[in-house]
Amino acid sequence: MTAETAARTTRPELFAEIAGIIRDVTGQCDEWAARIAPDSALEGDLGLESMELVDVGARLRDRFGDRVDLLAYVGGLDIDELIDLTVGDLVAYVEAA
Amino acid sequence: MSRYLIVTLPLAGHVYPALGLARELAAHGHEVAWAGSEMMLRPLVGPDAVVFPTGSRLFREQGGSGMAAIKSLWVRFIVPYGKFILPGVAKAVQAYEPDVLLVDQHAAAGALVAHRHGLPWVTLAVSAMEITAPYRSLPRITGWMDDQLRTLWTNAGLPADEFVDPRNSPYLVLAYTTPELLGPIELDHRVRLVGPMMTERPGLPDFPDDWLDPDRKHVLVTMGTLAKELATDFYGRAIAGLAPLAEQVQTIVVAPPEDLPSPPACVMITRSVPLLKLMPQLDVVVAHGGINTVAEALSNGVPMVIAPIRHDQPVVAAQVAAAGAGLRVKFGRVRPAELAAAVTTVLGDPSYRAGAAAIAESFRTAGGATEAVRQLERLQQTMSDRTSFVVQHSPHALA
Repeated sequence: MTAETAARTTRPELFAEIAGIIRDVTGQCDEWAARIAPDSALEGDLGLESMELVDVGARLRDRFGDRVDLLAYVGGLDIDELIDLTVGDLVAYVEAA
Repeated sequence: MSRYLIVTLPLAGHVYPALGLARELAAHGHEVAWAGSEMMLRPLVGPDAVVFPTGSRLFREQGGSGMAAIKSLWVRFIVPYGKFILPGVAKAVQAYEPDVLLVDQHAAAGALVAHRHGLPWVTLAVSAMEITAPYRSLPRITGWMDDQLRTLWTNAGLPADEFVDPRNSPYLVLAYTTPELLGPIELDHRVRLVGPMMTERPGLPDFPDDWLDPDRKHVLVTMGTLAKELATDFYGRAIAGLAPLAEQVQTIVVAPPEDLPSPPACVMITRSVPLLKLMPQLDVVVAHGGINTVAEALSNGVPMVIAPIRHDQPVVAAQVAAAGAGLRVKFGRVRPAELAAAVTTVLGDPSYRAGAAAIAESFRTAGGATEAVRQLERLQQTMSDRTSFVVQHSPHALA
């Protein structure tokens, strides 16, 4: 699923919640978080490091339960999908899980 | 006496550690030659070293971070470099007739040529990249890397069913680290943790020691040479963070002075420093986690603040933090005050210096180049025992 379709089909609250988790994990300010968009690439745009992605995964599991297994999801991606992974992709994954 | 051919990468960070081993081999009466870019190697290995040139080609600067940097490392460097030096390494083996090839973990051509000639080869695991297998939870990524190497193998004319991972010799893997730094991790039985092999880098200017005020702490900031523009931005933040600590801290930044004009009086900007000589006078080293800087700082018991940029650096940063020998900060996002806080914490808490001293002790125990040479000689002994056994017990020998 592309980021655009994710953004269209996703509840805005879920997007806001996941953007908040990313803000908390990265320790950034609200102003920075306000620039997060569905098509923001986790790595390229937000500079999310692999350890931070693990933290995001742990928080998503705490919040949404064991059905959300971000590392398993990421483990199924190829190198280009991983490089291009967006916030919208995460939202779509959580929604579908 | 044996003849060793070192196949390395055109990167100072990989040549220096190999040079430490080369000098120790020579001291034990062995012969050593190099295969690589002569233009790059010659100034580092000295005028008397035997270098078999493989040609010089400028590989594009590595960019990005995270997985994008990993992809760029493989498709722009490891694979094309492997192809490019293959003929040169093959010629070097024919001309030099080495007993063993010593192959940098990312200089795949050395492994391919050794296999083709039926020669033993030893992996030099200089970086923490492969040995810690940081991508083992991402099977499609490790599979993709494997595919790159298999293609390189078959394109070199080697039979696909004989494939051996050029990153991990079936004979011996010498890893420039220790269990204390590596942390709890399962290793292949061929891996020997010998610790880093440091060697004074030639041609470095003296440091003006009288600049150092004995009543203040001394912080060195060095982010390597491979991410220039990003590093300049980081240095700016580091200076902004550390300048307010002028009464307690003097900072040395290793960077081109023209990139950072008019630094405050408590900051010296200098193009290069004799790191090993300067190290005993330093209290904290702020670095990107490049293997040489980390080895040099920790072997002197100097704690670190690491801001990893890419490749194996996040792994190294995590190891140093886990060993209690320093702190990790975010290279791209750390603010001046956060960086100053990390430096102040490491300066103020003696446990970090103790953590670094423990790693230094582990390096000494591991044995470094001396132990590496012992392992190489043992391998040679095993191989020659095996050969004489086969010769004595083969029907041809009896006939």
